[in-house]
Amino acid sequence: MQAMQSAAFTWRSTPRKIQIRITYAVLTILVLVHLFPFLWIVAGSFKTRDSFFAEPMSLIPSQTTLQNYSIAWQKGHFGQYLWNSIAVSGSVVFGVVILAAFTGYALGRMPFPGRGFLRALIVLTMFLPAGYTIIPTFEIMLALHLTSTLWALIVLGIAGGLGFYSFLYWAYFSTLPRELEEAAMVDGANQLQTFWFVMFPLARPMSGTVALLCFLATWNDFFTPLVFTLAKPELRTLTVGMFSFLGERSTDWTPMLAATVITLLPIVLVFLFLQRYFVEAVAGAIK
Amino acid sequence: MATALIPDLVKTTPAPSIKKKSLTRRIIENRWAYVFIAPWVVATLVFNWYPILSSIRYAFYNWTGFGTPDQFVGFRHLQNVAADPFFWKAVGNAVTYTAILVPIQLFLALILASVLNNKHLRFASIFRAGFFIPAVCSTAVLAVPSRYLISFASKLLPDSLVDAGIFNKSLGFLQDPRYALLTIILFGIWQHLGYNMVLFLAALQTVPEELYDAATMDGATSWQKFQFITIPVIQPVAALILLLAVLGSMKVFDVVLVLTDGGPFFATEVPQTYIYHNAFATQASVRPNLGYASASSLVYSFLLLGLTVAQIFVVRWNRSRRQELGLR
Repeated sequence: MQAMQSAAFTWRSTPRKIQIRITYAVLTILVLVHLFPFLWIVAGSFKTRDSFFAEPMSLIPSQTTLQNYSIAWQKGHFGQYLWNSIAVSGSVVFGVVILAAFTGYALGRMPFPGRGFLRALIVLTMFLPAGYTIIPTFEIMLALHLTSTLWALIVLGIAGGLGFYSFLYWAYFSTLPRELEEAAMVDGANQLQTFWFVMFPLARPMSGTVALLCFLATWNDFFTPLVFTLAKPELRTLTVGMFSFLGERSTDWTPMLAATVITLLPIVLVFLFLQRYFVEAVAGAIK
Repeated sequence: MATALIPDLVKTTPAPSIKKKSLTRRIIENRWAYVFIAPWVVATLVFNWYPILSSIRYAFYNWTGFGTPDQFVGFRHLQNVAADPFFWKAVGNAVTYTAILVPIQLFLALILASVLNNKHLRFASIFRAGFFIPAVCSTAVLAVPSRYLISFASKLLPDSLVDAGIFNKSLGFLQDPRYALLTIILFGIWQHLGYNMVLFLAALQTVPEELYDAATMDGATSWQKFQFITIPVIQPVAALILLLAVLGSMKVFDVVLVLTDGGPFFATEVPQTYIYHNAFATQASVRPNLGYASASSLVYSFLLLGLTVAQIFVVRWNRSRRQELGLR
């Protein structure tokens, strides 16, 4: 106890400038340790096969090569998978932002008969334990003849997130002042025009949050694309492509690391550029 | 996520004060609303409700996934799940995973958040980003190279551990039943540490600065401020963070599937992989039975129901405490 108090005393009597420097030093070491797997992946992706096996843990390759990337891109089909991921994520984000905004606006601002029931339904659906629904979902996609196209992933991505994101829009729209809507109505706009030209642009901050959360979820989704691309390898997204490395090319270690970089780079870049919004969107979940 | 909003919206959104109009009039006036909500209504009926109700129905049939389920077995699957030691072993593994991962992860996340919350740290956001990066990456993707990294790392251990019988190099961490689950736990702590840190940071930022200033004037130490101001204020949010972490850990799937596929000898089998193996029979020892898989999913959902209900109460606690303290 005595020792602890004196230690605390020493730390407190340290000048703030020094305190800050020590904190930075400790945090730098911790972050580097935390990100070691990433540094290892990036370093390994540039190593030749021989140098990788000679010194697997080193972070500075003794012989560098770009061949791993060309193998992953062509033989590993990661060029195709990247395109699939972009197509699916882009379409899902676009569809979700528009459709969820419509739903959230109606639930939040339009006093239509039946609204109370639908509000209860959206909340109930969010809390419902999901169970093992992949098989019935697959049956529906079979019936719609969508199982051998990317549309299955797009439709499921949109449908999967729509309830939660509509709920976010509903919460957002119900905080906006009434006057703007009324002004638009007075100018003779119908409800569709009011939504599209006045209210939807006003919800831009929420649209940003929804787009980010939805992009993150879709880009990283694994299980649904895994099941829906089992029979069609050319439809795989990046996450499924990575998993298939384990079974199909499990000895191509350095190309696998290059494939990991191809898969993770887009999401890490998006995160670094939009860091503040990401953090706000995630933290908003508990507010 | 965002569940904190629910009681607020459901309970307190005031009914719009419009004059009583006839039902038909209200429908006609708001006809666009039905167009706006139509896509969501169709989507939720087809892709949420139909699959959930179907999967409950399948729990009462024998079904391999081909053709239509026609062999009705009643409650037999549910009874078999409840009597299967492998199911309870999987539940036990999920409990172990959660009981070790959650306290360590949240403790570390809270410490990091407290350090980064210091307003004198101008580069805090850079460190925040660094710790958060693994959390924006797909678990299934990160786990693939991690599998190789772990096997290299296990070769670096000193031979003395091997000689003492503590460690077996030919098995490595992931094939050794003694260490497999522990390794998965470490991966889990590592990957989502930053996520929980960000949640705690958000919670810490709700603590009014005036409280700290007043305490400083009264001569309180940092620890006393933490104990008597920070903890009481963030308590309800912390409860929500804890509950979300527990629920997420109990449903762990991707990382187990990629790192060990439930092995060795079911040492890392958790309910989600148990259900998956029963549904798709990727292991030779299991015959695919979607009925049985659905039944085990139903039983497990029922076991987790208490946590889901607790979530609703914690959310309400959050709201009332927030109003008490006059927070935003």
